[in-house]
Amino acid sequence: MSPALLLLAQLAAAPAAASEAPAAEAVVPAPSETQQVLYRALTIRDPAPDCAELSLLSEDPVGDLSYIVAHADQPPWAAMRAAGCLLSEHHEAALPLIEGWLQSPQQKGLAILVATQLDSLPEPVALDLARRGLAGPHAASLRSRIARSERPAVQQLAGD
Amino acid sequence: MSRGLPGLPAALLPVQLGLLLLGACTVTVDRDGGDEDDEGDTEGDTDEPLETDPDPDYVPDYDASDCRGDFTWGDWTAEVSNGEVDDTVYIPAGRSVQLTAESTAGTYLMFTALEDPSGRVQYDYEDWWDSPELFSFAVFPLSNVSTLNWPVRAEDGSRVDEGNWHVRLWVLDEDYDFVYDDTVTVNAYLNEDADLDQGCLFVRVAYADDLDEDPEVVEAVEGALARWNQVYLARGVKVIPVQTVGSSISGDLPDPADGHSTYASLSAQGEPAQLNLVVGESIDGSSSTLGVSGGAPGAMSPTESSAVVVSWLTHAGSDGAFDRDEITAMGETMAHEAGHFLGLFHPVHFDGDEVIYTDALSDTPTCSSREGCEALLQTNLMYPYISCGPDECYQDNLTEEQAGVLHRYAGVL
Repeated sequence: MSPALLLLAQLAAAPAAASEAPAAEAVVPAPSETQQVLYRALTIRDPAPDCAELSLLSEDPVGDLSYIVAHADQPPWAAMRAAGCLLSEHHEAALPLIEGWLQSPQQKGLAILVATQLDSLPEPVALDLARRGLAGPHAASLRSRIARSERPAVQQLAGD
Repeated sequence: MSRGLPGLPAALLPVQLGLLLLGACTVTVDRDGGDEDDEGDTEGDTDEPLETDPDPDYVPDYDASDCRGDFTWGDWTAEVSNGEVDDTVYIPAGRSVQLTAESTAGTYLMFTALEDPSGRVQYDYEDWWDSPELFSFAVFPLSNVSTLNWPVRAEDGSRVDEGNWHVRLWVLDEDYDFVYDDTVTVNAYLNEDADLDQGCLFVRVAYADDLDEDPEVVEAVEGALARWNQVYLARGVKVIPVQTVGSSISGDLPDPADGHSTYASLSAQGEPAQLNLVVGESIDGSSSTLGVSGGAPGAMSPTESSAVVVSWLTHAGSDGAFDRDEITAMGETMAHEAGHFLGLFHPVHFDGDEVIYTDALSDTPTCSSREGCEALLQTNLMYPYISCGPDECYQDNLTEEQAGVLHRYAGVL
């Protein structure tokens, strides 16, 4: 088993362990072959992988990239890059997920990522996400980043 | 560097142009141009290589009292004739010399030859132009700034002989045709320290935006510097942060490989033998780039590419908070990118799963497929892919020849 697969697979609770876990915890499915391929591509140091090319490797890029965002702990850039690809290539389909990042106390890094990439999104989407971010748990961290948007309408939100 | 391979210019046909070499002049790199000494001159220790596994209790060695290296520098202006600079330069004896040439913005420079006082051609771009081995970015016309460090590898030698050296450069336009009339400024740094087993790399840390006011980021960067210190010290290079500065640089850092006036200003404020490490949030609008080196090798002199940049956010991960593994990873990114700046290349470079380039070192393993390369190189600091196991995720090994390249960089004192 490759180290990449092993890393992700360890998150999949074995049946015996699952039976001992609290009932509320979900069992993480083992990574699919496609998810392993994407994960390996995302772990490269340099050059950074091209999101459009990565998306071609999967029949369900939103699902596969979302899996990696949720479950790849190491190296830290694998999940961040997967999130970046969702933002740049699949923001429409992944919008509920992205909105969730802005409201999750445990995903400050992803919230900051969204705030720094607002100008690459359609303005209505950027405005909505900015508002959600400023209403969420990471508002203090996001405000200065939203204020740096090149769009006056987005900038203005940070001053409200 | 570090964002992929440069595109080789398809339209360049220098061999077929048969240009005359004109305009030789003699300049001298002498002690009057600049003289830097490090503190102290104590007996050096011959420490055993340190264990490089990440150690939460590792205490970095930032003691500069045993840094013995000296360097001198000089500069001159050369006229371009028929697209070429052909100068004779007097260089005193030393361990290694770094030449950084700069031409008019919008033109492209490349070092074509370096000939020693005995008339022997030590470096010829033709040896590397079509080679599948990457030796130095000085071989290629990538920008209006080019840096050649000599010697590069152990097989290139361990010293610079005193005497008159011939330096040849080409200056090209955006179509890779020769520029017939231009002026080139060349900075030369001579490292006089003969010790190739122990050296010091001084680092100046600059925080973009208001990051120096974020205690968590600062603490993580300090931990990452310690990790970099540990990795390099195992090969006799002591990384010493000597200054930390805040700056008004945008948190979205310009790419130093493309050059930016920010880095020229920043590097001009420091000392020549200081590597400028800039910590920001993202790089050139990308949330995916971990770090970038401004050259391979990078310039000791102040240029628009004289920096290594790192993104803190990509290393902090989804929760935006650093744990120990993430600090280790950021330290290894610093070490990896600085490795490029000091002249190292990836041992292998892939196109898909196929190896298309290798470095020019004989002790980095040979392999031809992604799977084969990972088995041999996955813990090598300069291998482009990181392969994480369940309990470990680090790359910290350097071969003896890779270490030799680091020690020959003129800025390692």
